[in-house]
Amino acid sequence: MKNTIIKRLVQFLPALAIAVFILSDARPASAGCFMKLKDCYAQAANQMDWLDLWLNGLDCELDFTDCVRRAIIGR
Amino acid sequence: MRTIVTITVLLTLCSPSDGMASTLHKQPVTFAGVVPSALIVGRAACQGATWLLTEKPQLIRVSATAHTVSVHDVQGLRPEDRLWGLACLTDGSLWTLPSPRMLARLDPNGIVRERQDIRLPRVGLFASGDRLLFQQLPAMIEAPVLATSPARQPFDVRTWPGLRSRPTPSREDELANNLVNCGIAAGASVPCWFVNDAQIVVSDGVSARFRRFAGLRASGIDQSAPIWDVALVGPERLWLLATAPASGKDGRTGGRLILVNDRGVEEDQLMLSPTARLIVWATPTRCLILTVRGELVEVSTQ
Repeated sequence: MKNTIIKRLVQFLPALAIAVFILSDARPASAGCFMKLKDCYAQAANQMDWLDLWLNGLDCELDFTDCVRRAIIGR
Repeated sequence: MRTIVTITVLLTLCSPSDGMASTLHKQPVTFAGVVPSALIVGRAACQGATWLLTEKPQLIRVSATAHTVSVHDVQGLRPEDRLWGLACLTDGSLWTLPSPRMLARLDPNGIVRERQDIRLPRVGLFASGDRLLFQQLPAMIEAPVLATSPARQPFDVRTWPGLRSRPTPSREDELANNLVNCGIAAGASVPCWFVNDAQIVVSDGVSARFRRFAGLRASGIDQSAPIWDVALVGPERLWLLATAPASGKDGRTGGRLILVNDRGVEEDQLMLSPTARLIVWATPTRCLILTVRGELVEVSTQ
């Protein structure tokens, strides 16, 4: 389970770099999006069932999408 | 040498530039009512009015002709609801996403009247005619990122021609490279763009046209996400709000309004101060914008 989290975080690093570049001038609140995703992934990893793990991970990414779009698209 | 100078002078005169005087006129307009400062998470224009949805949440109706602003608190929400997007269909119904897997209809007073479960999560919601236009996950690489369906038949999905998902190194990169926003439509034609791109795609569900604008490369525009908002007012004519460099206080806003004429040529532009939150309403000769100070300002060609 820990290896899965680490693997997903490593895979996500390029996206984080791109998103940091895009959001570098956005509202300060967007900085919390990445921390929330990291925490969410950690909680998702506590699921015993692989399917629950995957679904919770997807929910993490949907929450992250919501956080980022409010920072980028929200007016 | 003389030829080079002549060509340079002609090019300068023929294209809008930072140093060229604008013929667009800007004036504040007094409205009965005030648009709240809460973050706007959805905008829909239909039946003579513009509807705004905030994250507070509030449903706001702006009538550009009657000069009125009416604000209603959204009611009937569940504790876990977090609204995003607003679509207005030709029957006048208003729809929003209380969650990625749920669609909700609001009445004009902001009360939730109906809910629809949707199987695949949606992260963007707009409208084209009598169909909802949405961005759905997961997206297949190089496949259309937008699709439509009737509000009450979420499985009757048609792909929307135009923007196609851009290849990314990993699944997680989808967000950064493929987040889409759409502007104010003209009939069934909707202008949409990737938020970090300088290209607009106008589609009516049958065909799509890609459009780029030289004015977006000007100085004073945030090149990482140059398009802030678009209002289509004809087959070729549109108002384009370019993103200003972010200020710490206001975040990202629209700092330059560009008018593209009926021939698809950038005809004029106007620097905005204060900057704009969004375009509220537009016609071929007038554009009503909401500034970061809460004012409604009309920009006109005369």
